Amino acid sequence: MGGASTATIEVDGLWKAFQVPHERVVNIKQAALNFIRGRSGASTFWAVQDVSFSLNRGEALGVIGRNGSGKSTMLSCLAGIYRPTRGTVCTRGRVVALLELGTGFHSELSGRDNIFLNASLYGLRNREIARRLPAITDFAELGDFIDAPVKTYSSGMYSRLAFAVAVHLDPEILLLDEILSVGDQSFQRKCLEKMQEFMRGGKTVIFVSHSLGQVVGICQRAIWLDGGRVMLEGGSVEVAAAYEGQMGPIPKLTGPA
Amino acid sequence: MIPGLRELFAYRDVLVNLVKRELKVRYKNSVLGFLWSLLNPLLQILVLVIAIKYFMGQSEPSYSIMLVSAFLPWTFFAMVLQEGAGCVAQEVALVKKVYFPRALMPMATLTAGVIHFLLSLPVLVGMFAVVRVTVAWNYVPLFFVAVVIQICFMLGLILTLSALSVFYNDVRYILGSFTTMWFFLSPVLYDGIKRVIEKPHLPQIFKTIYMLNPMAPILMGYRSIVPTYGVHQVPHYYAFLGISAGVAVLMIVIGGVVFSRYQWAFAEHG
Repeated sequence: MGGASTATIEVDGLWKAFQVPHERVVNIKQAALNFIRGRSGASTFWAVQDVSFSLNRGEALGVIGRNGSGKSTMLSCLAGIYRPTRGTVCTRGRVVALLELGTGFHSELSGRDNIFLNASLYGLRNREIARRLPAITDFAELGDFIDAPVKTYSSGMYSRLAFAVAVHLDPEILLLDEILSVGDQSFQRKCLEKMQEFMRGGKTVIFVSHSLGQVVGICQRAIWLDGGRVMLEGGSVEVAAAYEGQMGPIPKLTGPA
Repeated sequence: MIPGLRELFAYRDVLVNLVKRELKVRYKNSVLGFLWSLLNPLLQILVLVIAIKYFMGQSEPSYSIMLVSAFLPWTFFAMVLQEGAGCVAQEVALVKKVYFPRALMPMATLTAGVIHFLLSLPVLVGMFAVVRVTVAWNYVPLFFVAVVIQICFMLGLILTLSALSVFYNDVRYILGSFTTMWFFLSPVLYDGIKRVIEKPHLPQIFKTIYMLNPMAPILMGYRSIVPTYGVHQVPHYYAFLGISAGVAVLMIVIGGVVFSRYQWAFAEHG
C-alpha cells in the first residue's frame, strides 16, 4: 500500500469489545450476589478484531461481510462514536460519517431548520450552511415545502431533503453505511452519480454495503470482514468474487445470515 | 479538559441550533405559543397565593410579590433539572449515529431554560406594578449575581445527572421527589428570614445547615429586591452566598469529570 505518512485514513490493529450482560441485573440483591461471587454478570464480545488498513487520498474502500461481521462497529470507531478498545484510528481531514440519513431531523421543524440542525451536527458552521442553502434546497426539489414542517413531507421528500444535506456536507473523508440501499432506483442512481463525482474530486471514501455490485462499481479496493476479522483484502472485484463464492449463490431475497 | 472545551467551541452552532429546536418545538401546535411561559407561572402563583395567603392566613407584607420573586427562579431550577437529567438519555439514538461533543445537549437544555426564565421575568416586573410595591434597587445587582450562581450550579448538576441517567433510570425517578423535598427546605413558599433565621427557638446549628443549602442564599438574593426582605437581616449572608458559588463551581468540575468520563459509553451502552 501507499506510504503510511501520506495516508488520510490509517487503522492500526483495531479491536472493539462490548460487554454483553448474561442476565439482566434486575435488583440490588442480585447485583450484590454477583459482586460477592466475583461475577460481573457480563461477558466480553469482540465485535472487531485486529483490523488494519490504510487509505490514501482519492481512494475508495468497500467493506463487505455478513450481518454482524463488525462492519458497522468498525465504521462507528472511525466516526469517533465508539472508542477503540485496542489499536488506533488516525484520520487526516474533516470526516463525515453518514450512518443514517436525516440524523437529528425533527418532524415539527421546517425543512430549513432541519438542514441547519443536521448539517451542524456534522461539524459545519451555520454561516457555511447558509451559504450552501440555495444549492441544498435546489437539490432537494422541495419548492415552497422547505418552510413547512417535515412531518408534512412524503417519505420521498424526506429522503430527498436528507440526501441533499448529506451530499453538500463536502467532507474530505466520507464514511457511508448502507444508506444507498434506501430509496427507489432513480434515487439510488442519483446517489451513485453523486458519489462518483465526489471521488473524482479527490475525496476518500469508505463504503459499507451488502450490494456487491455497488461496491465493485464505486471502490477499487475492498475488505471482507467475518466475525470481526479481515478475511480478505484486495481489489474489489477479487474480494467480491471470493465473498460470493464462499456465501454460495446469493438469492435475490437475502435473509439474515 | 482543554481540548474538550476547544471542541465545544468549534461546534458552538450545534448549541444554537439545538436551543432553537427546543424553543420552536415546545410551543408548536399551541395557539398562545410562548405566552404559556408567562401564563403557566401566573396560574400557579395565583393558586398558591389563594391557598397560602387567604386560606392559611399568611400575613407577611406583600406576600404575593415575595412568593413570585423566588418561585419563578425555582420553577426554572426544577424544570431544567428534570429536563436536563433526561436530555442525553432521550437522544441516545442520535448519539449512536453522529459524533458531536455530547455536553452540548445538557448545555442546550440549560440555555433554553435560561431563555424561558428571562421571558417569564415580565411577570415579576408586572407584579411590582400591580401590587404597587417599589423595587429595592440597591439589591438588583444581587438579583443578577444570584442568577449567575444558580445557572452555574445547574450546569454542574445537569452534566452529572444527564450522564448518570443514561445508565441508571433511577436518577430520573428519584429526582422528582428529591426536588419536591428540596423545594420545601428552601425559602420559596415562606420567608426564610422570619421563619427560619430569626426564629428564636431554633438551634443555631439548624440555621447554619439551612443556609448551607446552595439554593437558600440564592433565593434570598432574589427576594431582596422586595422591600423588607433584604439580606442585610441575615448574619454572614455573603459568606453563605460565597459558599453557594463555591459549591456551584465544584459542581461544574464534578459534572465535567463525570460527563467526560462516561460520554464514550453513551453510544455503546444506551
